[in-house]
Amino acid sequence: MRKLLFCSILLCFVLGEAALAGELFRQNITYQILPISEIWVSGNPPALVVNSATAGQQPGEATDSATTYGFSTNTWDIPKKITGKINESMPDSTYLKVNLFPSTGANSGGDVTLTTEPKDLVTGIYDPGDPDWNLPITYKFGAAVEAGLVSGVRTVTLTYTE
Amino acid sequence: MVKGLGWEIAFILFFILSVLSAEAINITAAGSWHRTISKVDLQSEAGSGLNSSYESAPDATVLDIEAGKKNQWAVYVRTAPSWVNDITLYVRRISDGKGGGTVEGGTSYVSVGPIDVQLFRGTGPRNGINLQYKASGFSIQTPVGLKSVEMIYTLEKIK
Repeated sequence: MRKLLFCSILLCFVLGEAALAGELFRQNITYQILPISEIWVSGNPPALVVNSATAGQQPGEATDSATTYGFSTNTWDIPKKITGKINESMPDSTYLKVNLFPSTGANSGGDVTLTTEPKDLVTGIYDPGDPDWNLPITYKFGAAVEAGLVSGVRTVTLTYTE
Repeated sequence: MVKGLGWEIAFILFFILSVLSAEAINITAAGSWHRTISKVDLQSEAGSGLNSSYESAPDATVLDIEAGKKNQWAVYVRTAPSWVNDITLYVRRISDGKGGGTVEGGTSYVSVGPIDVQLFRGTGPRNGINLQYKASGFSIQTPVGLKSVEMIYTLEKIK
C-alpha cells in the first residue's frame, strides 16, 4: 500500500510538471496576391484644332502632350505591351496619331495612326517591379485640305496586356 | 483490511484530482486571417505601388485561457518557418477579455518570427481576448500567389 501511495504522489508531480511545460494552439494566417495589370491616364487632352496652313501646302498638325499615363503590374515576369484604338474611324483625309513614351527597357512604336483595330504602341515591357507613371502621351491630329470642315470626338482606349 | 484500503484509495484519488485541478492550464483560439491583395490595394491609381501594410479585423483571433485563480501565466507566440522573408507579421492584443484573472502587456504590435516571443501575461482564467494581426512589407514586387504561415501560441505556467 505504501508503494501505491508513493507511486501516486510521484504521478502527481509528473503530471504537474507536464502542465508547467505549457499548452500549444496553432492557427493559420494566409495572404493571397492576385495578378495586377492596370493602366491609367491623367485625363483628356484638349481639343486638337487644325486651322492654319501655309499657302500651297497641307495644313499643319495639331499636337498635344499634356496628358500622361502609368501602369502597375505584379506579374513582371511576363512581358507586356500597350495597345491603342479609337471607337470610330476618323473622317476621310484626317488622322489621329498617338505616341507613348516607353517605360525603362520597353520599345515605343513611335507615332502610331489610330484605327478601330488595336495597334501596338509600346512593346517589350518587362517591368522590373517599380511602378511607372507620368509617362508622356503625345497626340497628333492632321487633316488634308480635302477633308473640308470637320469636327468630332473620339475615345482612345489604351490596353495594358500580355 | 478492505475497509482501510478504501479510505486510503479515496485519499489518493482526492490527492491526484486536487493536484491536477490546481495545475491544469489550457489555451484555445478561434478565428483566422486571410487577406486577398488585388488592384484595389494600389496606393492610388495605376502607376502607383501596393500598400505596404494590411491589418486584420481587431478580433481575428479570440483566445481563451483556462487556469486556476492563483495561476500566473504568459502567452508566447511564434510562426512556423514558412513565411515569406520580405513580409513581417505582427500581432497585438486588442481586448482584456473577461474572467476572474488579470491580463497585461501585448497591446503594441509584436513582430512574430520562428522564435517564441512573449505576447502578454496574466493570472487566472480569461476568456475572449481579441488579437489583431498586421502584415507589412508588401510591394508591387511581391510575387503573386498564396502564402500561409502557422501561428503557434504557447501558454506557459509561471506559477
